[in-house]
Amino acid sequence: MKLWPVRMLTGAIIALAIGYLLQPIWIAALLCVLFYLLLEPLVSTLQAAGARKDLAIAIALLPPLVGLVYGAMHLIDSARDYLPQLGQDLEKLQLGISKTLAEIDNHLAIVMDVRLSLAEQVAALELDLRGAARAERLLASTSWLANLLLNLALVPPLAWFLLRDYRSWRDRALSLLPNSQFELGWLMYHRVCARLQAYLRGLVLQALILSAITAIGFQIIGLPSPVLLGVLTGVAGLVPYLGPLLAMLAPVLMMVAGPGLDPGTLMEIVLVLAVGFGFDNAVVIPFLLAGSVNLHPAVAMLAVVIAGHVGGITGMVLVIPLLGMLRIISETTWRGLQSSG
Amino acid sequence: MLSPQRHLWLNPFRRKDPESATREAWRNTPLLMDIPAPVCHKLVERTHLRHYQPGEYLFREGEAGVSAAVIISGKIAIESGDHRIAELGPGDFFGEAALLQDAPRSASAIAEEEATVSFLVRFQLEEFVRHRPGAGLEIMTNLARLLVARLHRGNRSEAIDE
Repeated sequence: MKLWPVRMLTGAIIALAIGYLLQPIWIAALLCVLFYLLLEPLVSTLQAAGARKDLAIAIALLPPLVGLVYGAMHLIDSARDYLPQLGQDLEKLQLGISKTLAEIDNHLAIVMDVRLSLAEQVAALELDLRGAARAERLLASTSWLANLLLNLALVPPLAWFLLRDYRSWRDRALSLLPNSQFELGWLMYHRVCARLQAYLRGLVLQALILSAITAIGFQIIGLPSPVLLGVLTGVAGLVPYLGPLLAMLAPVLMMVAGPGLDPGTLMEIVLVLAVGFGFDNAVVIPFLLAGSVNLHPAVAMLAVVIAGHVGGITGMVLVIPLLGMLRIISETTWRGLQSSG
Repeated sequence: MLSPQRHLWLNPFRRKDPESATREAWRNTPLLMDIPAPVCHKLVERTHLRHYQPGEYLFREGEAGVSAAVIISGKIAIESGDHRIAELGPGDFFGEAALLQDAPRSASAIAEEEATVSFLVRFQLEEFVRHRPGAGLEIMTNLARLLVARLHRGNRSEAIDE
């Protein structure tokens, strides 16, 4: 009987157990892994230039941590200022949606002589956005915010230890392999890491490029908070197929709740997103991510829908990178174990 | 620091600890020839000490190799097919081609008696070279010299066979 299927199953169970245990701090864990993948080459370069390891890590970690602290402070300030007026804004948003739907209804009636009564139909759904501002939901939001801040506070020490000690942890873990699997273990580890690093760095770069392009576009067409909208678009861009639709949500809702949405602005938003996603599909994905995962479109769509049902927007954003990582790990491990007989 | 009196009590016949034996073995290999001792120590810290029972394979012919090895104690037989090519003992260095590429092992290595072997993995050598480019250049030059010397020796023995 071959032992490697049992070993793969054991590895998968251990990975799932670790994932379950890390559930409360998954944001911190994810950010630390991203920091490691992005900053490790910089730390190596600084060390090669003669800097001590601790100093190299400090220099590499400082700018992103300052950014993170600034972002967290901004988030706290915004939340403190915004929570009391959340109810009013949601009411305004609901009125804005009704007004926009009525305008679309009128427009369709005038141009195409069709009357869909969209506003009445949505009102019949009893969509009560003000319910979102009820006390228990606000309390849940506050607890979510506290959990997020706790996760953010964990990032600096965890990232520091990961950058400093990851190699010695890895060496110790790999030295536990039996003699017959020692070299194969190292080879497989190296192949999995090389593909994973390329894939995750590609994803981060993809999100950054899409964020930058759309933030500039939103700035040009005069939307409020263009940087925030750009960042949200960059994150939404990680969701295949549904990304452009998700990316439209934030700017459209912001305009509906704020100055109001007219067809001209809607077209401008669509144009900015088309330019961003067009560049993403034509240049960024072929050069940065081509061939790294290649999930079947049907699998990807199904996964996005299921993850959306289970984990909401966060699940939709994370499911494809996680499936990609899982595929890289399983493919490489499978090939390595088969070649070892 | 030890006082001069305490040196009198140190046992000159005490056996060396495994770490210093490993360091010494690696320093005497052609790979680390003329490399400063502190740099050698840093590299040797990354090596892996493994113990083998008689008859146990270190690696088999045709498997992908990723490390070079130095024998710390015991005897290792090198075999290709059914032929025994060499018998190696403490201090011998082998498998260095795997430090450069993923090519399959050209021969098998089997422990003839209980043996302790220290391995240097290619990926760790690459990391070391990235962190210390100066020393890395010297190590890679030594490796190139070693491989060229083996190639010449191989060519000469082929010529003699013909």
